[in-house]
Order: sequence, then structure tokens, then C-alpha cells
Amino acid sequence: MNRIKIDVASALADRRLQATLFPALQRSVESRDEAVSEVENWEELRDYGRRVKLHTLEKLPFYLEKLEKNVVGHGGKVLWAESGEDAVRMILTIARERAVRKVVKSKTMLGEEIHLNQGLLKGGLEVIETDLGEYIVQLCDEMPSHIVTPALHKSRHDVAELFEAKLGMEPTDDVAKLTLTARNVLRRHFLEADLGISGVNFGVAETGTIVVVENEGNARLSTSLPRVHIALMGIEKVIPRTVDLSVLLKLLTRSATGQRLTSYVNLISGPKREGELDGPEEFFLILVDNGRSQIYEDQFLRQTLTCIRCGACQNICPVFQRLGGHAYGTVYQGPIGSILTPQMFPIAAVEEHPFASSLCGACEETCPVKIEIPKILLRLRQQVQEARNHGIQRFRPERIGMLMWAWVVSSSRRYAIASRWLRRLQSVLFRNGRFRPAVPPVSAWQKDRDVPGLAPKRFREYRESEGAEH
Amino acid sequence: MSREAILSRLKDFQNREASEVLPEVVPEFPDFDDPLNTFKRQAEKAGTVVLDGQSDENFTAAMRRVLEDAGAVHLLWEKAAIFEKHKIPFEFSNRSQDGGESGVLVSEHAEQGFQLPVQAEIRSLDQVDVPEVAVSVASAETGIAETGTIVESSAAAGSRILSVLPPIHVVLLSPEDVLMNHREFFQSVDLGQHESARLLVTGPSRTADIEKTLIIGVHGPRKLFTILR
Ligand code: SF4
Repeated sequence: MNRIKIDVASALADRRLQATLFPALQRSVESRDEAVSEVENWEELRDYGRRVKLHTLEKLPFYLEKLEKNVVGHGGKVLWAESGEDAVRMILTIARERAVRKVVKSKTMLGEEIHLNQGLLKGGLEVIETDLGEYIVQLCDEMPSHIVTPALHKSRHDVAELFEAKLGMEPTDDVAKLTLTARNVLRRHFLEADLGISGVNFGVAETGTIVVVENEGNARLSTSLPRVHIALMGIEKVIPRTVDLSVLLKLLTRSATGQRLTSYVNLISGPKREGELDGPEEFFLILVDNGRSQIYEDQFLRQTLTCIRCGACQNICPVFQRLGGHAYGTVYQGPIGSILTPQMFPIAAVEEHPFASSLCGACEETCPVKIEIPKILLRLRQQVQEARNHGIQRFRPERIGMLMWAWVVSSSRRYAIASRWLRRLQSVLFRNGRFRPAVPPVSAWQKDRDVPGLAPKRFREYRESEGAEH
Repeated sequence: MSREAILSRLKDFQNREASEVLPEVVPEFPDFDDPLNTFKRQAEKAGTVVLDGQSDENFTAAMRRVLEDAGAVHLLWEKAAIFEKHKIPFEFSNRSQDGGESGVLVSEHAEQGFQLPVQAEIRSLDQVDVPEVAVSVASAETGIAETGTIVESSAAAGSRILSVLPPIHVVLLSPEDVLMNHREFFQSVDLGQHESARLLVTGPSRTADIEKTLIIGVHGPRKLFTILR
């Protein structure tokens, strides 16, 4: 099994990335905080959102069947896909039967998850991403680096170079011009496409309505211009009632982009009706499992499925802020990725992911549906450790070191003696304030960690002498 | 087949005694003394230009402002029914040569100097090539004060794409159709009963996909007008 490693070193060394990433995330955090601070009962809304989502999960089969029934009632068709491959196959079949040539897509993380683009291309279709960020990422054949802002890792210079190379655009640094160029290119694709594929933010069971939240207008066009619309929805996206949208939309848009509401919220109930001038003749909803029912099994870990993909935990995460999304090597990144990925893949393949966190708790605090991310991370770490303990790894030096450490720090007397000795040895062991001897196995541990020197006095001694008057 | 497999797996894992009940009471949403005023303020914050058109005189002035602003030569009315609902003081005369539905708008207020006729079309479907100097005019089903949002229904409007395709979009909104907040809206709306799509619109089309820099007018209109009428 190939492990998906987290590529810390190259992310930190990438100057352009570092210059682009942090300010952008900082802006997102600020606008989210501002938008949230004007809502007096934000905590109450979070509780409501969490309870609605947890309740839906408890009765998931019931709500899924209800959603299905109501979508069919509007003249839509509902398909169920066990895996990503199944979903891709279904879409290809629909496309072939209707002689579809060109597909326009609006943003869908589920599409990324199941590698939809590659699948459709292999099936001989032309696929165009229409969300600006997704389009940029598609043009350079990369993966999105953020669940809300896919091209977050790209600077305007990167995009300018890309458009120059791929679209023959004059060199410019003007973001407005870059955007206009993309608009014009994509406009043509919209008018030519026979099939539109979208994601789903919420599926309302009681009315058979799917909700697509966006800012650009590309989702409206992708779901209205082509003669066929396919909506891809993870089975966890269903919600019971229309009225729940009032709270969930408020939580989502304020957390995601700091907007009171995004420019567009599409509420789609089936294909074009009698008397309507446009809209697709056929509407398909594909309900995708792809590992979700496995996550569902554990009643504590299940809350992972309440995520509404707002990306706020990514924006605020100190680890994500330094690494960006690509370092994680997976579709879902940052805190939500670190809890989702290990539950979707065999845990041995992504065993580093639950550890890519300082457990500072910022993600849980910001999460609009209060997912207990740090606790879930700890549970997953435990699982990784258990998997390791099955092998000889039980006798790893790290484990012995940790046991010794635990023995020392569990008694204040032992701790005092040890730190006194370390302080005496400091002049030998430390140089320029850093731990020096690079002997295995300590050197391996040191590779990614700075070990600063000890302060000249213990805190207690310090407090007893000069600190006393404070 | 996979339907049954997925459902039965979920049912297996489902805990029997459900503990999390669906909350009955939706949390409070803000109320406003003057919802219309709040609507205006919020809509403007989101980048919408709100114009008053309640008197015929103001409406004519508002339309003139829109057309001048856009430098537009095509007005695309979604449906003739808009004329009735909002008592448009223009006359839509079907004078097109080809017998199509496009026609000419004539103002009843020539004395106010409104530069009509403007070519106005009720779009037919093969004309998806909307000119870059077109203005689409739609009617809002509802306005939501809390966020300055307007709601367009495909049943009333007839079209799903006209609100997004042209570079300029105008929505006519009756002041009495303005609701307080999203709780009120979602409690009263009957999704999917008569329409295939409803669209909540809050400001013009926008993106911040490059370096989080805000750009107005991506795939949808770069300018959104709401005329209170
Ligand atoms: S885990 Fe919470 S904060 Fe993170 S994306 Fe999901 S809903 Fe948003």
C-alpha cells in the first residue's frame, strides 16, 4: 500500500505559495469573523444546525427514501451509487444514450473525490470546469487546494502565465482582465454543452429540492442551459425540511466566505416544467455512498458526516495556513481532511493525517456545526497506533523514550532532578540554543523538530526569587 | 441493487432508539421596524443598485438610468405578464417584421423625454446568444430584508437563464412582497410546487477565486438593479 505522505518540506520551501497563501486565508478568517459577530444568536444557530444534521443521520435511510420519492414526483430520476466508479459509469451511460459530447461542470467536491473528470475524459467526453477557481486548476491539471477556493495556491502571476500559455492571452496582472477572459471562453462552452453536472449542498427531503450555493452564476447556467442536468450528491447531504435551510444557509455562507448570503442560491426541483421557457429536459440525482456508510457505522465518528464543507476549519488551521492544501496529497485537506480521509481510505495509507494537527482546537471552535474535530483526531490516532502495535513496532525506540519521559514527568521530584542535570549538560549538548548531537535514533526525531535550549532557571525558582512581587 | 445495499447497510448501523429529535423551534431571526428600508440597505451592501419606481415618473426615470448606464440597445422582458403585474407605463407593441415575439416599447410618457422606442424582445429559446449590450427584466416573487435578497421563480418568470446570461439584470419588486427574514421566507415558500427552480439573488455575480480579490461580473451580470414598483 502506497502511503500518502504529507509533504511539509516542499510546501514550506515554496516561496510563492507562502506569499500567497497566508494573506488570503487571513482575509477569509477576518471576513468570517465579521459576518459572524453581527449575528446575536450564532451559538444557538450552531446548536440547531448540529442537531438537525445529527438527527438526519440517525434517520438517514428514512430521509433518503423521502428525498427520492419527492424528486421522482417532480419528474426527476434518482440513481444510487455504491462507489465512485459506479457513479462515473452511470454518468457515462446517461451521456452515451443521449449522444452527449460536451459537459459543463460547476463545482463539486464529490466530483473531485471520485475523479469524475478523468473518468469522463477516458469515456471520450469533453469536460469543462466552469467555476473560475476550478477552471484554473483544470487548465494546469492539478487538484483543488481548498474546498471553497480551489485555486487558492495560485497567485495572479501564476494565473496570468497559465492563461498566456493555454488561452493565448496577452500578459497581464489585472485580475479583472483575467476573469473577463475566462468568462468569454467559458460562455461559448456553456452554449455548446449538452450535459451539465453540479454538486449539491443540501437535499431537502420534504420537497425533493436540491440546493446549490454559488457566487459566479456558473451553477445556474450549468444546471439550466444543457438539455440534461445531473446532480451528484453524497448521501449525507440530505436534510429534513425547507425551514432548516434558513439556518443552514446562514451558517454556511457566513462561515465559508463571510457573506450574509452568496450571490446565488439555486433551489432546483426536477427538470423544466410545462410552460417554462428553458431548463433541462431531464434531471438526474445520483446519491453516492463511496465509503460514507462505513463512516456511519461508528456512532461517535459519524458526526464527521455532518460537515457542510464551508472550509472555515481550513482557513483558521495553523497547520493548513503554513502548508496549503496540496501538501496533504488528498482531495480533502486541513482539519476536515484529516478526519475524513482516514475514514474513507484504509487508515494505513494515510496514517500521517490524523497527526497533522497541533490539537489547538481552533477548528472545532469555528466549525458551524460544532464537529468535535480534535476528539475525532485523537480517536483516529489511537486507531493508527493500534494498527501499528500489531507488528514489531511495539518495541520502537520512540515508545521506550516516551515511557521514560512519562516516568520522569509523573513525579515533580524526578522532573526537578532531570531538569537540573539537563541544565548542567546544556553547554555540551546545545549549541546556538539548539540541541546538537545528531545520533540515531534521536536524529530522526529531530529532523522535523527544533529543540530549543532550557531557560537558565526553572520557572519555580524564577517565581520564588524575582517573580514574587508580581 | 446498490440502492438496497446502501439502505440496508445504513439500516444495520442505525441505532434503534433515536436520541436526537428534530428541533421544533427555529431560532430567532432579526426583525426590522422598516423592512423595506433594511432591504434597500442590505441589497446595496451586496452590490445591488436599488431604484424607486413607484410613481410612473420615477419608474420612467429609473428605466432611463438603467439603459444609459448599460449603454443598452436590447431589453429582454422575461414575460409579458410582468407588464400587468407591475403596471408598466409602456406599451409593448408587437411590430416585429418576422412575426416573432420581439417588438417595440413605446412610452406613455413621451413628454418626459424617455428615449424610446428601444428594441424589446420576449426571448425565444433559440436566441441564447444574448448580446453583450442586453438588459433582462424580471419580476421578483419576494424580497428578503435581512440580506437584501430577491427571489425569482421559474414559474413566474418563465426563464431560468435570463437572470444570469445578460450583463445587466433588472428585477422589479413590489414593496409589499418584501419579507422580514429567511425564517419567514423558508417557512412560507412551497418549493417545487409550481416551478422547477427558484433562485435567491443577492447582488451581482462575483468571484474571489484569484488571490481572494473581489471581481464583479463573472458568468452572471456585472450589474444588478432592483426597481421598487
Ligand atoms: S468540518 Fe466544520 S468547519 Fe470544517 S468544513 Fe466541515 S463544516 Fe466547515
